[in-house]
Amino acid sequence: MKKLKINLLPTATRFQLSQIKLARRLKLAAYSMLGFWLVAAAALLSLKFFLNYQKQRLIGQKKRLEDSLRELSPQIELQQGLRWRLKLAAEVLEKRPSLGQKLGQIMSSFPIESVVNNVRVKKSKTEINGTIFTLPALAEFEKKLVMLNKEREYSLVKINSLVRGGNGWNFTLELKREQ
Amino acid sequence: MRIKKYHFAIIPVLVILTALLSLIFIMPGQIRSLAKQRGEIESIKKDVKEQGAKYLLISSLNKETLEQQASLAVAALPEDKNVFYVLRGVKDISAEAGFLIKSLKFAPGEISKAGEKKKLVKKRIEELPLTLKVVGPFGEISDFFEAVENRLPLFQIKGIELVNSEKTGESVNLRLELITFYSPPSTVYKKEVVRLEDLILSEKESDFLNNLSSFKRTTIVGRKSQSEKGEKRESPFLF
Repeated sequence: MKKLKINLLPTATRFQLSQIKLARRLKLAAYSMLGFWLVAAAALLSLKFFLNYQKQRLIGQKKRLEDSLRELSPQIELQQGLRWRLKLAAEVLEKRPSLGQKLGQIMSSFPIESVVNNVRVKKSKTEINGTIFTLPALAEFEKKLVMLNKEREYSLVKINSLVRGGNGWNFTLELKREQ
Repeated sequence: MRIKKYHFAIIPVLVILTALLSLIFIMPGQIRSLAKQRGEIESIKKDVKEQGAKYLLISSLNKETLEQQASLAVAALPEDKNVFYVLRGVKDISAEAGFLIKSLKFAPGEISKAGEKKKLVKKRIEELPLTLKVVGPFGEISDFFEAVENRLPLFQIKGIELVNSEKTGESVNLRLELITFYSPPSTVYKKEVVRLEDLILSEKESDFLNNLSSFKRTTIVGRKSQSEKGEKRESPFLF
């Protein structure tokens, strides 16, 4: 059975009652809102305070570390200077052809029965003039030339002349540095 | 008349509206500011971490080792045009290979004419050319070249002229065009922007340093002033 809702109060009383109910609800909403606002504000403020404190603490820590690092700055300077100088020295060594070592190798590969009269090194070209006295020495020399040709850094470009001279065979070797 | 009936609602509604408005307009700004502050803290934290690591790294470096390494690097590439040091290097090279120095000439470089204005361009690596004439045994030539190329300060052989002084080939006259290098101290780096990885020698750099240490060093004998020596010369013109 359906329940019947019968309000027998007079209209004015009903209106007042509804007003009282509305006022109570509004009050509750206002208090809730105020409470929420206060909680949010308190949370924000405390968070702000905490973050600020943390920031100040870290700034202090950073400053202390910077001061300590400043004390060690001569070492940093020394280390950076070292790295810079190493870089430049490496550049020098990289660009520097190991000419001496190579020439030493070439010189030592000449046969005993020979004389190097002249060596000229200019830029990438090396010219060696000499004399070979005996025929077996010439053969040995030719063999060595083939060996030299195999090497990568320098290669034998040409033999200008291999002419029979007064005391043996004069030769001119021209070596050019390969790029 | 009708509003008067709802006067009880004015204060709560105002409170609600104010709270709502402040939540809508003030809170986001505050939250943004908090987030910004948080970001700043993170960045400071990162800085602190990096500075701490730098501090640990630098303080762990052995000062003596570092000074030795720096001195080796300076020996390879001096900071200034130290003719005395170069001369000593050349002398050591010759003595090592059993050669005698006949003459040594430093190239003075280009001299500008009077009134000529030339721009001074500072290079990272400055060259100091020298011409050296030596005489020595032919058999020791390779040792001589090796000595030149394995010596600190670094030398570069730019040109060689070799003439046998005797037909027997016992001794040779060598005319060498050498270059030695120097580099003024640089301030290309800033202490503030030195990164953590800048404070560690890379593997390549360590290898290079090891390679340099295999080179023969020229000893630098400090030239003391007269006052330091505590001697008084009777006549300044007599040596």
